[in-house]
Amino acid sequence: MEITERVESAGFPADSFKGVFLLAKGRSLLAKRNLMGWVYVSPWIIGFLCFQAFPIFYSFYISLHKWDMLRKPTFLGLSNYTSLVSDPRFLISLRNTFLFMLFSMGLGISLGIFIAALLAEKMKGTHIYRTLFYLPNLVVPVAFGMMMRPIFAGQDYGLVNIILSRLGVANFQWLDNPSTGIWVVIITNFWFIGACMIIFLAGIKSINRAYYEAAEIDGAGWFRRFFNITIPLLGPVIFFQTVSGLIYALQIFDIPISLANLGGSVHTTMGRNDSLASLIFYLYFLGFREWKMGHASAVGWVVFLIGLLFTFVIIWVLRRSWYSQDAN
Amino acid sequence: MRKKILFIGLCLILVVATSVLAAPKVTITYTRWAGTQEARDFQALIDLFMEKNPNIKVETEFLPWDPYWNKLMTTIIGRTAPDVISFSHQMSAQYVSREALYDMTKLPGVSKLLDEMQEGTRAAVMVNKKIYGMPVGAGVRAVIYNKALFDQAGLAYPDNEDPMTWDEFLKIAEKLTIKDKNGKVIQYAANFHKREMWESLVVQAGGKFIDDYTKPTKILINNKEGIAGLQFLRTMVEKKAIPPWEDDWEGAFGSPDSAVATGKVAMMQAGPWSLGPLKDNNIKFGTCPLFMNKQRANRGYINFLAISRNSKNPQAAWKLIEWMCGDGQLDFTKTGDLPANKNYLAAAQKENPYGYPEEVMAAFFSELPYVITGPMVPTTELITLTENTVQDLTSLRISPSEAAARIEEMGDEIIANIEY
Repeated sequence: MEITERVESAGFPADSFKGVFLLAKGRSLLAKRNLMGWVYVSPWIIGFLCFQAFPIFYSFYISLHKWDMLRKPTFLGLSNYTSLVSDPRFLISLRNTFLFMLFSMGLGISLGIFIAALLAEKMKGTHIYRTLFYLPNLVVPVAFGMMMRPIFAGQDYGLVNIILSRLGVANFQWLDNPSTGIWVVIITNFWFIGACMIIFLAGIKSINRAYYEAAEIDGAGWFRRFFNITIPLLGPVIFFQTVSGLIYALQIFDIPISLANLGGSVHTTMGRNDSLASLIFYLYFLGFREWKMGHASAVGWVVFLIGLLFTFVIIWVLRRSWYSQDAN
Repeated sequence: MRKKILFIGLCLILVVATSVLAAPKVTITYTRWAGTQEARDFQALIDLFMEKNPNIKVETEFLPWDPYWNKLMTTIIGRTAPDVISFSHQMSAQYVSREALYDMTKLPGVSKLLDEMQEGTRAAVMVNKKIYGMPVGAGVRAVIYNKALFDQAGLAYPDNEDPMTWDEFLKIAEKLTIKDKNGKVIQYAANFHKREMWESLVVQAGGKFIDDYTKPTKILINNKEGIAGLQFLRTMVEKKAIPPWEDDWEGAFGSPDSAVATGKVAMMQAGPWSLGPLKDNNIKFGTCPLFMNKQRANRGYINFLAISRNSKNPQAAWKLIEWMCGDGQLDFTKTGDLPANKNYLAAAQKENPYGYPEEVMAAFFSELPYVITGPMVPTTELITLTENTVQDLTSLRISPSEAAARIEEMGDEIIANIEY
C-alpha cells in the first residue's frame, strides 16, 4: 500500500504529511524547515535534558552511592536498594502507599464515575452541583491538610472526637496511631474527588446518545444503562484515570506532610511512629531531613519501578476489557 | 633636585590619600531567623556595625524559623549561602560535624575570642579541633507568669532567683488550674515546652540522658533518676497542671512562647524574646526560674555565627562576627539573648540593655549556669524518638519506665548508626 493511502486510511487528509514525504525525498527546503522545527522546540528539549533527563539519570547514579550533599559520594553498589527490604520505615511507607492507592484510587474512581453519571443527567441545577463538586479542588492540598489537622486532633480537642464523644464513642488518636493515620489521609483525599468526576463527566458526554436512546426504548433502567453502556464505553477514560490516579497515589506527599508537621518542632517527623509515612514522604525525610541522598534516590527509583509495573498491568487488564464506540 | 623630590613626595601623598579615601567598600551578607520585631532589632544592630565600620556594607536577610532552615540548607549545599550565617545549636550539627562551614581556626583572634565564651558553648562550634563558628548568645528560658492570675488565686509571687521545688510547684498548680462544671479545664497552671523539658527534669532528678552531646555512645536515661524525671512530667499532665501534648503549641492555650498572653495560662516557659508581646498587651507579668528537684537544670540554646564556605570576604565576615561576639555583645543582647561572652555577662546584668526591669531579667540570668543543650548529632532520628516517646508518655499511653526503656533500646541503635 502506498504511504499516502495508509495516511488516508488512518483518517487523515492525504496531504497531511506532505512535508514528511518531501523531506524523505531529501528536498533542501524541507531540510531547512526541519531545522527550523528543531530550533523552535529546542528550548523545551534543552529544558528537558537539563531539568528532567539529567536529574533522572543522576539520581540513579546517586542511588548507588552514599552522599550527604556536602562531601564526595562514596560508591556502595546496590546496598541502598537491598537495605530497603529490611528497612521498617520503608515497609510502613510502602504499606501506607498501597493502602492509599487501593482505597483512594479505587473508591475515588468508582465514586467519580457514579457522581459523573448522576450529574450527566438532564436535571434542574446540575451545573450548580458540578460546580460544587469541583470547587474543593481549588483549595491547595497543603492548606486543606492543615485544616484537617485540628479536625482529626486527638483527645477531646479534635472536632471528630467531639462529635464521637457526644455519641458516646471514646476518644481516639486519629493522626498519631500508625493503624489509622493513613486512613485520615485517604478520607482527606476524597475532598478532591471533583477533579476525577469532571473528567468522567466529559467522557460520558462524549458517548453517543443513540446508545442510551436505544437502551431506553428497549426498557433499560438507569442502572442497566450505567453498567452496560456508560462503564464499558468509558474504558479509555477509566484507563487514563487509573494510570494518572496510580501515579498520583504513588506520589502522595502534600497531605501527609501537612497533617504531620507539628508546630514548634524543629524537625518534621512522619507522624508518631511513622503513622503518616508514604513513599515520597519517606524519600523527602531521607533526603532533606537525614541528608541521605543515595538512600532517598533508591526509594525514588523503587517508586518509579512500582509505577511502571502497575501501569503495564493496568494496560494489560483494561485493554482486554474496554469497548470502543467506533469499533461497535 | 629638591623640586623633583618634592614633586615625587606630593605625588606619593596624593596616591596614598586617594587610595585611603577611595578604599573599596566590601559588601557582605548576613542572615538570621527572626520575627517582625526581632528583624527590626537585628537590623538596628547591623546598622550600628556599619556605622562603626563604614567600609563594610552588610546586606541582611531575615526569615521565619522554618523557611530559614530550609533555605539555609539549599544555599549551603548550592554554595550560595550568605557570608555570615546564624545558627541555633540544635540545628547546626548536620553542618558542623560534616565540616561544611568555613574553617575559622586560623583567622586572627578567633581562638582568643572563643576562650572568652561561656563553658559549654564551645562544643557546639568545634569539630576535630577546628573552629566553625563563634557563640554569640545564649537563649535561656525561665518561667514567665501572669500576676493577675496569681492574685486571683490568692498566691504570692514566686521568687525571681530561687526556684520552687517540684512539690511546691504542684501545690500552686493545683490552685491555678481551673475547671468548668463538666470538669473541663478552662485555665491551666502552666504551658511548658514538653519536647525539650523532659530532659531538664531527668537532669533535675539527678539523671542524665546521654553520655556525650556531640559524640554519644550510650543512652543513660533508663535508671531510677531518669524514670523519676519522666514521672514528674507525666504527673503534671495527670494533675492537669499543663495542657496535653496536642495543645502544646497549637491549641487554645497558646504555645510555651505565648501561653500567658492568652489569659488562660498562669505560667509559661519562655525566654526574653516572649516578653515584648506581653508588654504590648499590658499583661502584668513576673519571672522566676524553672522549678528544681535534686539540682537545677533547664534546656537552653546556644546561638552562634559562622562563615559560609563560599564566602568571598571571610575577613569582613569575621569582622562582623568578632564585633557581635565581642565589643558589640551588649548591643547584641538587646535582641533578647544573654551574652555568650563571659566578659560581658556582668555588664549585661548591670546595664540591663533588655528594656525590662532588673527583677524580670534576674530569673533568666539565674538560669544561665544551669543551661543544658541536649544532643548535637547529625541525625533527626534521636529527636524523633524522644519526641514520639514523650508524646506517648504525656498522652498517658505508656509509663515512665516503658518510655525510658524504649528511649534506651532504640536510642542506642540510632547512636550506633550515626554517620559523622
